[in-house]
Amino acid sequence: MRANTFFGRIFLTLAALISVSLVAAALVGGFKLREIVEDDMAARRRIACDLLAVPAVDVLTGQGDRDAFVERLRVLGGLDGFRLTLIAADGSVMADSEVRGELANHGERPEVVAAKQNGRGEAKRLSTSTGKTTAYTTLKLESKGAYVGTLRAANEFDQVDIMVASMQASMLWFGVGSLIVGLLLSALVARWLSHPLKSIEREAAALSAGNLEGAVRMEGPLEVVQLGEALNAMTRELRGRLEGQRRARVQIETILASMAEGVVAVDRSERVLLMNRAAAELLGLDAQLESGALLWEKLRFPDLERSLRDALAGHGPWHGDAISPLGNGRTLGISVAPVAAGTPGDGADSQGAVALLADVTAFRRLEQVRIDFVANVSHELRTPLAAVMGALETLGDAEQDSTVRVRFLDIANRNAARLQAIVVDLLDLSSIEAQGDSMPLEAVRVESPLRTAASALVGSAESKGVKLEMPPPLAFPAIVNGNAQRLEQVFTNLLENALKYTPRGGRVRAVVRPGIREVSVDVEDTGVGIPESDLTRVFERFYRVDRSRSRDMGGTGLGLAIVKHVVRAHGGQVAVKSKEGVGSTFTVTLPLYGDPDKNTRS
Amino acid sequence: MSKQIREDLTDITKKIQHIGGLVEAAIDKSLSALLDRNARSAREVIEGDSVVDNLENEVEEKCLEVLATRQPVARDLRFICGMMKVNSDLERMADLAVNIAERAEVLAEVPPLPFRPDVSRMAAVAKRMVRDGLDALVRRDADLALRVWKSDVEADRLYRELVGEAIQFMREHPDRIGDVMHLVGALRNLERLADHATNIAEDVIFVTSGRIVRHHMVEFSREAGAALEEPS
Repeated sequence: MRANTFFGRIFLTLAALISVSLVAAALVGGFKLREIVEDDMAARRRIACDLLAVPAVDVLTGQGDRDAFVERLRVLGGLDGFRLTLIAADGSVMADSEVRGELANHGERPEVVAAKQNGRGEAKRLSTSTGKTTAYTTLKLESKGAYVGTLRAANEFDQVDIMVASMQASMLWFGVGSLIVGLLLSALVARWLSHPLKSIEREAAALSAGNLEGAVRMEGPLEVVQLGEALNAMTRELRGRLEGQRRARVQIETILASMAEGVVAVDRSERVLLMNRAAAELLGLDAQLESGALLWEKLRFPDLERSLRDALAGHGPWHGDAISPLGNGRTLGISVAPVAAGTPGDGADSQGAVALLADVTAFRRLEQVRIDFVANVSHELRTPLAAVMGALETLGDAEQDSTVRVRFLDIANRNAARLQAIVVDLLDLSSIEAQGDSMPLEAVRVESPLRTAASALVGSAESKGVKLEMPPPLAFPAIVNGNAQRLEQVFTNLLENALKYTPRGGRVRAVVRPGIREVSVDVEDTGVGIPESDLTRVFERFYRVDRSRSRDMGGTGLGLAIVKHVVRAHGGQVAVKSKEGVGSTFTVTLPLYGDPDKNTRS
Repeated sequence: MSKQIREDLTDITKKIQHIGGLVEAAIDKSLSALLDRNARSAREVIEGDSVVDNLENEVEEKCLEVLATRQPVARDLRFICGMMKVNSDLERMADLAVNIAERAEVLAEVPPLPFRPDVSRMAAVAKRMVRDGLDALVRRDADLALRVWKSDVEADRLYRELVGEAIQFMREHPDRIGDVMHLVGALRNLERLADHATNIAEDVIFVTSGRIVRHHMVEFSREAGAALEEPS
């Protein structure tokens, strides 16, 4: 039995209580009992003395029979357990209920002396006759006013002791019985108290193990029930909060996972705290990168490392571009910000840093295109303008002869025409761009603008010595939803380009390939071809594969840009394949008229 | 004490890794400057070199400091010695990237030469070697290091072929000998880059296994190959 259980506590308390009260009862009871018994015995001794006073006097005065008196003493004494003694005035023992024969002189015994003086005497002492503690009561006997002797009643004290001991023995048994009953009672009470507590304990253990579904059964004492209620309320509250937190976390994770930008958060020691899928893809890392991995061990990306370290060292946010560490030529826009420990800007080192990554390759390319366009447009306009101005200046000099004048007039004319061509193309381009989706479209047979364009170029093809091949008429006309005038411009530009870059003896061929939903027109040439690295850029304005060569060819540099924009306005696509020294193929794909899928122009 | 040296070694690794990243980026940029005839990226590489130089000094000092104050033994000692060698290799590689960028700057201004596909292939091999060498270093991956070492043969072969083609071209176009010499110079630097990547691979094997394989790579690879083929 452990003392710190309910059972132990209750039983020990109960046992202590029972023991203390029983011991106290035994002591006090024994004392009181002894007092009562002694008083009672003293009274009875006195009564016995009083009763025997008359016959005793008779015996002493010689009027009574001594032997009968002795017999009477013995009967009375035996009855009460008293020893009765008659002592004559000279102290000699006349009769005794227990001792026969001669006894020593009792005249000097204290009780006898006391009786002689006071009429009655009491004493408690060791009996000289029996050697036991004995209580004595004496009565002075007188006859006609003269002292004739003393009557003494005595009883031994061990009688009292025996009575007290027997009472205490029964109390001991009673105590043992009480303790057994106490044990049973304690067990019952303890069980009643601890049983609901055990259930609460089990519930709390389950709670700390993460099981929030259970509830405590309500039973037992009021206090325990209240505790159980409090626990249940706490469980409910906890469940609510955990659910809220879980939902918030899932929400954040979902948002992060569905972000197009990459997010990486690191702690002070540059361990990854969090990384979303986009970041993993942009950095070429495992999406399931265990958090706690050192970022610099997984990745060699100096720009990101440096900016994260700067942020961790307490510098402010940083934004910039960096080349992707994957070597795929993509540009990543990086924003790094410290995760402030305290209030932002207090100069303290931050607790961590978070980086936002985005693939900005397309944006940077667009920017570059824009910058190049402005530079190119001014350059393209300035060159013929300078020529015109130079020629005009020379013409203004009156001393020139007519052949020189004609030559410079021609230069001025040609360059003015070139300027005009560029300006017209630029205007065309911007009007196509401005029209965009609202370009007027109608049902057009795709062959008719192609043939119109080709027929206008037959002459220049012949004079250059290049064979221009047109497709045979189609069995079923391919009709597109288009703008005949703009499509003619497209094909003219493509055919003109093909002729321009195809050397004498070469061949330019147009092929129409009708499909189920769209029709493709290929313009193939056997020209110089386009280097692979330039293929993606030939549709940019003023982009030239080889500057010196193409300007000699007299192009404005805008032809293919116009093609691209017109085709796009038709909801179609333009593509190019080329091999240097072999030739190029430009393919224009247009959706057929009435195809609901493709007629939505993008 | 042991914790202290662990932190020092982590610091060194971190710095080496950072330099590695910078060098790799510089190489990528100089090679794309060479291939795409982009004088602007070439200039960026040339101007960025001082960062690597400073970092190299930092690592060198840190290594010496650790050697002097912590007196590392066994694996730690090997690691620091290996890192010091890798460090100087990386610094040389950064210089080579600058050299390539300088050639690229010149070549961007002259008419294109016809070797682009072959140069591109050789650049890809060298880039892969550098990348794998640095990966092997950070992962302590001796197998990957061995692969880097094997790629060096390929880089050398491509270099010889290209030089042969360049000589042929110069015979046919004497007017362009100057331009081709710049390209050959760039290729020579590229070949040296691959050699340094091989050195790093050798250092990785030294750090991981304690074996000095420099100049004895043939035997080592034979052993490693035999060990791989043995049924386990």
